[in-house]
Amino acid sequence: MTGVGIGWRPEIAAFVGALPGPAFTEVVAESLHHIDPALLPDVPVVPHGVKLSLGGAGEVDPARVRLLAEAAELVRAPLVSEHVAFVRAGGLEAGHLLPVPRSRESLDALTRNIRLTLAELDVPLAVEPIAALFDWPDDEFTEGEFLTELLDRTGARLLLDVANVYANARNRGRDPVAVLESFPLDRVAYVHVAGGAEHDGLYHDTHAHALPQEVLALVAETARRVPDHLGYLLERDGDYPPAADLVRELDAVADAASLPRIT
Amino acid sequence: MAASGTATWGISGPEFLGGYGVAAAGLLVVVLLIRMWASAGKRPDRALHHYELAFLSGGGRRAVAASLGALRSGQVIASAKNAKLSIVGTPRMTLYPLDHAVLEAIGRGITTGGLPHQPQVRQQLDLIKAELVGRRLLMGPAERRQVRAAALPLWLLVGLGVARIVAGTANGRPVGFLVFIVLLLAVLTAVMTIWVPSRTRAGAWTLTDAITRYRVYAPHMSPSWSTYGPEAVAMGVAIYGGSVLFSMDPAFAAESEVASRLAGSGGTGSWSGSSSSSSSCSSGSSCSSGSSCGGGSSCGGGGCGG
Repeated sequence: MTGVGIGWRPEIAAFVGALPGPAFTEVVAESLHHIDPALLPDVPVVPHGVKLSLGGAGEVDPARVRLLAEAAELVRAPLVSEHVAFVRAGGLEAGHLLPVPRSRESLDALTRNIRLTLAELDVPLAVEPIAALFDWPDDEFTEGEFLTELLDRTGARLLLDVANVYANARNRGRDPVAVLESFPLDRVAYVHVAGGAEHDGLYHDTHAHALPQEVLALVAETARRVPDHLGYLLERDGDYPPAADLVRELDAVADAASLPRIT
Repeated sequence: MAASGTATWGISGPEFLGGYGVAAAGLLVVVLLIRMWASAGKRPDRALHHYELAFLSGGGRRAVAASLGALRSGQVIASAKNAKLSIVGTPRMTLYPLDHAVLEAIGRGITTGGLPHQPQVRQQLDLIKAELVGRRLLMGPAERRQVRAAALPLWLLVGLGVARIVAGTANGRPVGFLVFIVLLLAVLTAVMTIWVPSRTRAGAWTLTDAITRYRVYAPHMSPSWSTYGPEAVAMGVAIYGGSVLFSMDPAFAAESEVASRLAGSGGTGSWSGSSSSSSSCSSGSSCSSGSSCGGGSSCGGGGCGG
């Protein structure tokens, strides 16, 4: 996948459907079975899972893995993606993505769960590290080391979220470009780009605010470091702005990545 | 009075009843076919404008509600309590003639419910209505007359039945079944005389088609009206009614009282232009013949056709 895309959401279906040239789109995998396929643009669709809980201590739920595989078949997806996170533990649903400790133990658990998932999938799986406001005290790896090891073990690919890289680096006082460089950039399948906002001194990756210049700068840094053109997907999940603003953001992403505009 | 052994008009009760029933059923089918033909209309050769769809869906009031939605989405108007509206911004959106008329009326302090009755608004609504009638999506006066006239033969049959009831009663024959059939026929005929659909079948099809075509604006999609803009809001109100305004701007929808005063809540509404000529219905008088017979219960031997 090369080019710029935007995440399909029911709230902005008419906007996404009217774009003349998106390179691809992404749909929340768990909602895909309820969507009229005719509403999706006629471009590659990536099912994006949010409830598999790959980072959970227990094995992934086979029913959820099957649902992800079915979603991929339903839209003839070129690949699927999920998060390096857990969403439930001890029978409790967290309701959102929680970070895993970067320890050998969780590396083993993630490796097992990603292998179990890949066994059911006919297409590649890209995994996305999440934005987290805290680190676990028992971290044994940096994020870059952890991801490199995980992808080496499983053969999965990387869904690089530059907004998460920015959020994590900024909230820990690190250089976002240095963090980016520590990631296994040769394994990137595609890139997420999203907006956020600062609140009480911390940057929150909200997907409901405008794209900051710093995130756009990371798009450009990524494009410079990965010579093959990648797919860059704008994620907007709430507080949707006027169409003109979304067009401006899509154009800004295309310009930053030196890709053709899709608007 | 004739002897009770003689058949009225030389036709026995069961024979008359059978023939009458067949004639009534046959004529009903013919009249229904004529109604279908007269109300067929013509499917549009272009997509309708949002205010045309609004009028087709819910009449002039729905069209005004759609305009208010567009003007609010474009941040041109604001609301205050008790359906008061005001102009708060310069339009940077495309304004259509109906929007201009609505804005002019708001500038004169007209509240939500009064907008459709303002002369300039009325004029624009009449133009939209004329366009829809001309495109044969709404029933025009000619089509309405045709549909009404189609019921005429049925009234003749009702008249025949009444005459038979009168003659049969005078002849001392039981008339219960005939009274029942004539009453039923009179009611059906009255309904077909009074009830004329506001939309042609092509008009109804156009609305169904719009629901499919614009399904991204359906409430279950939680459409982002801020992204879609004024014309999409107008289209949403046209098809899905006042609920669109509540999802777009709850405070405006509540204060302007647009749902209760204009838009209704559902996908289809009453047509404000519908005719009130129900006075042409004379069913009341023909139905009163039922009270003169009173012999329904006396009908035991099967010869109940007078």
